[in-house]
Amino acid sequence: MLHATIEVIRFEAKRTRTTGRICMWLGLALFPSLLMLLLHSQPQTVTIPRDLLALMAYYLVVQVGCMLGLLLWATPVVGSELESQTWVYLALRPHGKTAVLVGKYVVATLWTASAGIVSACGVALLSQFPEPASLAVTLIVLVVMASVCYSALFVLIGVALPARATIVAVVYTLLFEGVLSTIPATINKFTVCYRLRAMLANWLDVSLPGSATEVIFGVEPAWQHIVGLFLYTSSLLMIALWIMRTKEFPVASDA
Amino acid sequence: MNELLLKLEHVSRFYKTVIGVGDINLELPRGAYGLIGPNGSGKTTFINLVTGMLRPSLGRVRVLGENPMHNRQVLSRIGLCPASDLLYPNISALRWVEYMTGLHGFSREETKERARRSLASVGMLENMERPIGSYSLGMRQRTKLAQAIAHSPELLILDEPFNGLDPIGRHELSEFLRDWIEQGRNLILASHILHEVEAITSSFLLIHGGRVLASGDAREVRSMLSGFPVEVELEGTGLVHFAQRVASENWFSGLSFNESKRHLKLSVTDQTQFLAYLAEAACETDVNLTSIRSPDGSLESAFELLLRAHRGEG
Repeated sequence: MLHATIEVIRFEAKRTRTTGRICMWLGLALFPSLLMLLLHSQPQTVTIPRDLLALMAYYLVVQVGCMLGLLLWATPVVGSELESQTWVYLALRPHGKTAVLVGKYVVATLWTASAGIVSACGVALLSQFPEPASLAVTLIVLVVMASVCYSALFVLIGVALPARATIVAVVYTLLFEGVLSTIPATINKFTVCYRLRAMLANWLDVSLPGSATEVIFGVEPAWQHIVGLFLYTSSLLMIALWIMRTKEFPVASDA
Repeated sequence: MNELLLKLEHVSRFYKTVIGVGDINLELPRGAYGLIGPNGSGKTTFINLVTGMLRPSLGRVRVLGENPMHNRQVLSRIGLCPASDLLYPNISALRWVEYMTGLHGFSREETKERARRSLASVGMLENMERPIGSYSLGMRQRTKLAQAIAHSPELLILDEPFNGLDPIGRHELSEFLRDWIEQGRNLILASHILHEVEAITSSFLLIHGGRVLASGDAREVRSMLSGFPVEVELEGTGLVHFAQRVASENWFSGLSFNESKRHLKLSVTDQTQFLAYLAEAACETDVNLTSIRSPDGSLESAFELLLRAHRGEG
């Protein structure tokens, strides 16, 4: 099982080193920094507040950057194999299905996190944030957590609905992680975005006017968010593994 | 190991309202078998059931004594070369076969060694470092075969392996498979090209409409058909008179003429008796034959007869 998983990681990691995929990685790693650069290259009439800068950096690097990377890598976990007619070869190995899921999850997470870390460093340097080192460290931790959690989410969607995984993942992301995470109700606690945002506020001491801080960022300590994300990720991965092992994926049939 | 190669107990697989395979009951001892049937007959569904890719809607499947759906470990004893093409254009055959072999859990060194050895055994040693996208169809077929044998399976399953191969490729594959069988290994070779299967193995499963029509060697299959009428085509003159005489014989089953009455199709239940009668009639009457065509005794003709019997045309 371990050998098979390592083999998938090795194979998928090698596939990340094509020109196209390296360009994608560079795009994801550099576009938030470029946006920051463009923002600050304009003649400024008003100074951007520190907290707004932190939120901008967070959304660019963690929410947009990580999610785009994972949409490309984690969502087609099964769909790409079905499309290229290679699923049958993988599924015909004793631990093939599990190894493919875990291996692709690891590669998707590492690929996205590595781009996100570069992106976080670039943004922290170029954002003119008063404490760039704190911003960089916070963003890096959030990038790693976002990659781990969203990768599990997108892998689950990819396993459950391989044919329409990308569309479902985009809709889910917009609806749940975009809209629902900002609704001040219990439901927003079930989104990754809420927890990541809350940790950003915790660690960088970001606040919003009036009582908005409590509503948007919550009042829980950071450790609760970390435990929540750990449980969320492990549950999603367990469900994905169960589906992967029990589901019959469409294979060639002559009848 | 005395376990059966395959055991299927009342196995059916439905695709919504379509029957993929229906009520297959089968016990196959170890050996090499040709799975023969026209396109769409259920061969691939049969293979998918045997390899645990599909769950039977009804019945039980055992391969090498194990249920492939529940005991995935049995898959390490099976090698499959599917019919679908290989679409990994940027990866070399060596890397891909290494990947497929590594998924069986071998160490890195053993994986590399096995991948090289299996590619060499299918004649891909020289081209194995090139990307698969640059291969001919025959080379892709050989690469698929290499991944199926690299882990030394007990049972090799090939689905339409001759598709797209040139005559040399077909010959080489046939040679390879004959060697495989000679080593005492098990084989299931699904194809719709009868003579190529017949050249490799003498045991068959004839499948049509999702049902196994017959199994056994060519002689057993033909003996099953001994009671079925065989069509004989005669061409010449004086056939009308001949047909009148023949109609009273107990081995006669039916006939049809063409418009010119120079072409007679006879249906007979006993070819030997018919031929003796024909020789006699040719001497005694004015029948003048220019050609006689009858089934050549090949598996193809047996298969056609089985299909007719299956359709109730017997």
